[in-house]
Amino acid sequence: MKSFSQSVVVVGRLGPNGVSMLGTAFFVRGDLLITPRHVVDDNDKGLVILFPHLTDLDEYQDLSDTSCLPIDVEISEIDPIRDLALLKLKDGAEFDLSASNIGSLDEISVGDRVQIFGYPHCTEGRRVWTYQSTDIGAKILLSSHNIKSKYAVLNIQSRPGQSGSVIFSQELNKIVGVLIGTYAPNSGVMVGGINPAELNQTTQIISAEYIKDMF
Amino acid sequence: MNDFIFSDNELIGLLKPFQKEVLLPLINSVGEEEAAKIWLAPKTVEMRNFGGTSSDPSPYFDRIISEIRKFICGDEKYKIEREKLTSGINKSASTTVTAISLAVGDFLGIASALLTPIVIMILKMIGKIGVNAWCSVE
Repeated sequence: MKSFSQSVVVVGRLGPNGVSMLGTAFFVRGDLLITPRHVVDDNDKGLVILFPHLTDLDEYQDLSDTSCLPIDVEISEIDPIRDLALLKLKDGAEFDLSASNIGSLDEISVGDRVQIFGYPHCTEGRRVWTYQSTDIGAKILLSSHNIKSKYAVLNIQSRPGQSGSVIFSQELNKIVGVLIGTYAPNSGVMVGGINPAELNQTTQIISAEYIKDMF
Repeated sequence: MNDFIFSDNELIGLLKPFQKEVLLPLINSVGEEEAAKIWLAPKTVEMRNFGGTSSDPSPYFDRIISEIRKFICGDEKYKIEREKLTSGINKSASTTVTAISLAVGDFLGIASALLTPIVIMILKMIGKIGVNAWCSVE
């Protein structure tokens, strides 16, 4: 688990007022990271990751400390159908991380326990590396233009900032998915700016097998 | 003008395996232009995403095509980049695709990684009808 405190990071964009946090990304190699396409919005101007701030999992994360060390990244590949983007550290930079063991949703079953590492609420300015655990609720195929992709439903609600969280199977010791979002059909009404369908969400993750083809 | 004519094999060979898996069936079923549009802004399932900004996720296809057209059809705007490309001794499909993707991506603020397959598909179309014919159609 400790390795994920170093390999799961915040993606942000540098602007005149500092860094806007956009979501979560994780290293798949010392110089390459994965995040959803919608997090980076096809634009790598000012795109950064924030250097990991945790040295010990059990330390209290001081939310009054808003300092950070941004590291420049660029978009190396985009898969729009699977909503995935491969980021690369700029200028040949590399982290001292062992290569990730990437698996697939084929290797897990409904009811299996998985671990989630990410930064819920980071888009709202709150940077908290967070561990969660839940079960696989269903395995599904989603189709876009007749191209079917493997997803799973997690029995947990997710929050803004968690897009790009790594889904890990401790039992397999493999990354099995990437958190993409939640199923929330347009309910036709908004209550206080909220789509009521988003209050009953199930989290959707895409199989990690699609990452392997990108690098 | 023949600087932008390459064989299908050369161009398709530039696509990464994950791009081929998606784009080749699309090209066969809907043609290059429609496949390029889908690549830019695929229809997705009803999903609420938890990251990024709320801006329109789909780059404007027409603006992208318009800029690629300016590059290939001789517009002053890309004169320097075009001359650098066409005077180079290592001119190949790969360097051409990279040069167009970088120049257009830089102008529009879009990562060239997204544009590369679009440029490949446009050049594939141009390979069928010729540069003059493609440039004469608005």
